[in-house]
Amino acid sequence: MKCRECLESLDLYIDGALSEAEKKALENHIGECESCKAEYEALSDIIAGLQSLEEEPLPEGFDESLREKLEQISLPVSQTSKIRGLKPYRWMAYIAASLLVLAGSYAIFENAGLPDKAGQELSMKTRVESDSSAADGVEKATGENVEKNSIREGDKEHRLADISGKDIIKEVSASEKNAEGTQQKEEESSAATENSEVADEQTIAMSSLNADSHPGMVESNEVDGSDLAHEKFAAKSFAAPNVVYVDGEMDNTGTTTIKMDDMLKITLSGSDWEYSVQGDVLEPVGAETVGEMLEISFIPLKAGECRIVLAKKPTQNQPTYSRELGIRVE
Amino acid sequence: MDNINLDEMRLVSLSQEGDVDSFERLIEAHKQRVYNIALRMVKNRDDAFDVSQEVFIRVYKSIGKFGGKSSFSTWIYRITVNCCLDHLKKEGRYKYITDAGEDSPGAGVIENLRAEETPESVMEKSIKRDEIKKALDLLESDFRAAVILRDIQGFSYDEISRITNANIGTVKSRISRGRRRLREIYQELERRGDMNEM
Repeated sequence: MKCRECLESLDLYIDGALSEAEKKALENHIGECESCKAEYEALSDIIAGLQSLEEEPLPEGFDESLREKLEQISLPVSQTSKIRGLKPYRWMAYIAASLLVLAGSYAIFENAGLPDKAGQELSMKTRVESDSSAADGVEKATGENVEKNSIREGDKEHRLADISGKDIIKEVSASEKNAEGTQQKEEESSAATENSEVADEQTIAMSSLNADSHPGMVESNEVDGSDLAHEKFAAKSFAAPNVVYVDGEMDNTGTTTIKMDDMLKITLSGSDWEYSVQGDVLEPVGAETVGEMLEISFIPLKAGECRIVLAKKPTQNQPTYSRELGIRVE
Repeated sequence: MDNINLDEMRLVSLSQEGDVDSFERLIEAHKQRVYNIALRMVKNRDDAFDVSQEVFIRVYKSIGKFGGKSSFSTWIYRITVNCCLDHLKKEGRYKYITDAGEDSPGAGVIENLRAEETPESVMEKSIKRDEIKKALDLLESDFRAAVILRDIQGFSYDEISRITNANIGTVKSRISRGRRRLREIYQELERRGDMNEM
């Protein structure tokens, strides 16, 4: 081992990160080289000095002061009802709901006597239905109340097995073509086509998110097929003004690329948003209300791609606004 | 750092609903460590008090966004490091690492370090605690974070990588360069004999 190699490996040696062979080689070198040995000892002294710094107890009054500050934070307003993120366990319900919807879609194709190939293109199903102007559907799922799994398409009704064993309602109701839905379909068609399978799966999950978050709205939608269509397309509406990127550059597929060292910030109008990250590429690190805007921040965990699902709660004048953002971390 | 465990998940869930008691239980195991990281990162106990309180407030405010993709401890220590760096920037005491490892603005105390001085000629046999604290306070901020997390708090390279959101290579480099830089600062302070004037 040469001196340079030894010096470069000293930290790993001290931290126990060398292999046995590397460790042996370094120890042999230190045994023979006074200069490297001195460097090793100097480094060890510094580390020993750092390790000698004793852990200090929390200062007096720390807990009381913190408690006081925490109690002044109105989470029920600022977080749990306004900008609540998805809780981990909820994803189980969403995944189960997505599976059910896919299974239901498959059942429809099977029943209609379509070739297997059509079944394999489940991702296109909802779009096909809307294009046909004869059937629009909505998927609704909750993780808590499931009494039945039924699909109605036109006059047909199919029963599905409860494949999840969980309480999940799924309804797909045919309806007449909905003008609003058609308009929105046209708006999103070019952007969504390339990612049809993923996009539809996520749209389904999005529908379940909306259903879970706004049960009242969904209840009313269950009655009328046109409303159901609206619910479906609300999850896919892409009126862009609500979302502003601060970091990154969006390509023509709608994916924004950021660097590992970047922090992704998304600014949203209003504060009544829910959002979640699909994938383990980004970690949400904060949300801050600035005036009438909500700024949410994410830190990259690793290189890769993920999607951020944003949903704005409905108001009297505006239906639910939802959007998915593709993010690539390099 | 393992993924979030079930008890933590339950406490996180309750905290997300605004349950302060659950949040206090959730952070109980991390409070002292957060405070001590802050204590070594910032200048004094008062600042460490304020910064660590800010850490927990920031965690509480954004716990609704904690999705369990990293462990809760990774998340809380990442916020800790970020809060400390924010504090240093706000105070104008953030010291940047330069590629050449040369002095950065505000780190003037070490500008005259002479490389030919051997460790033996400069260092005493043992490192005194107060002296190392002073040297640590002059270390560039990212080096300081890496050295504190590794040598004082005992986090692994992998954990530091996740906490600081830097790749393993960067973490190893920061630790290695940070230790040497710290030694240089210490040596320079000793050479000047102005430890007591700091």
